[in-house]
Amino acid sequence: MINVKNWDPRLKLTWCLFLVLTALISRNMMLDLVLLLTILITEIITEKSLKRFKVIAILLLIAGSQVLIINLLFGRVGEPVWSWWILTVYNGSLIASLLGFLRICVITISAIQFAYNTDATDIAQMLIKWHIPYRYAMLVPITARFFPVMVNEYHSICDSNSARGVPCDTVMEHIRNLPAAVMPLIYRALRISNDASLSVELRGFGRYETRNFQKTIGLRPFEGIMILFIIMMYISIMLCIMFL
Amino acid sequence: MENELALKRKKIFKTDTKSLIGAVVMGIVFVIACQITGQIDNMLPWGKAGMYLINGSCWAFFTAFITLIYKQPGGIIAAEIEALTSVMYSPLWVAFIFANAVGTIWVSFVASKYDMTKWSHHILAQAGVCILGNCIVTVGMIFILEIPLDVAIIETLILIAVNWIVATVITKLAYDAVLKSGLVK
Repeated sequence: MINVKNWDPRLKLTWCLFLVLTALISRNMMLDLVLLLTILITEIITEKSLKRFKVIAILLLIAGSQVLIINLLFGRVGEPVWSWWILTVYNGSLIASLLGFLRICVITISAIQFAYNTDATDIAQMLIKWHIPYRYAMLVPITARFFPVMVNEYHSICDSNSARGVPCDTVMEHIRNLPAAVMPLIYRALRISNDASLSVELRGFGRYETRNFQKTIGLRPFEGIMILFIIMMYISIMLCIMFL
Repeated sequence: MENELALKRKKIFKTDTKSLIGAVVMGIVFVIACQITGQIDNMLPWGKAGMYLINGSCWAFFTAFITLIYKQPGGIIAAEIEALTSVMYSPLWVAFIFANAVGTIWVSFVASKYDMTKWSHHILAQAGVCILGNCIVTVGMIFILEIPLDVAIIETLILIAVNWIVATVITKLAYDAVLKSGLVK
């Protein structure tokens, strides 16, 4: 298994941007399919399974079905292939739905792959290398740190509501109780941000212009060559799309 | 004293640590709320047709609310946290990056001109958020999801109408409530 986590975040970002931008400019189903297969193959090579994409695959299928429904109902491109009462299905709608589905798969899965393989501190260091002040760059690890805290806060608000006789166990109950949970969550967020900002200030956040990290990032020669290769590949695909 | 407070409120930038950390934490709340409202919309008939009315209203409310509390760059930070984290639940995250940024900049612009105490100020702030943001998302719907142009335009017009009204009411009530609580100054 290749440990991609140790690679430079700039290489992983270039790879992610290459996939996203290529999918955005592509009007070809084959190209989107190749991109999707490339992501899945790299995932199998590096992780030996596709289980990280299990949840997102369900969401993508829901989004894909929505695109299909809209295109089938309202799409008027191509030749009619099936007709019933006021409903007529055109072949262009099916192609457009498939193209849209493949595109959202590439865009979403590539971003998920980047998010899973890149440490938040590495992203902060990457931003610092791009001369972004560390007070702003450090907000990325802070986001990663506070995400579970806020999710727990939300669950504790739901538990409090349950204790007061408003059940909050099923998805439907969560949805029904949302208005009663959001305002307390906002107040708790304000309180937590007050405490957290005081804590980081007391630890000298922003006192100096630079900051040390336990582990630093550095672009190795093969990573630099890989970045150049990816950029050249993107330019060639763009030229092919424009002139062929 | 009141004038001084109003003048303070009209600043566009607020770069203290509390604003930056607060924007991050509120950005996470923004993500949680959008994820839940997205699920609600997915279960409803209009959500199945790709029209996220409740989710859109929630998005417009948080975009304006966070910008009013933490100003800039807090507004952009929170908005971009939501846009980038929305990878987990929406394929339109690329469009959200631009839509959220434009929305929060518009609110900052309105908040720099007005003290945000009247309904008309909030209506104006939400007008920009809903119209500009939804127009950008429409471009995303056409170019990313391959949705027919006429359908995308009609969906956007309905979204703008609903989001504008709902988000204005919620923003005004929530903003006044938070100011009254004294948790933000």
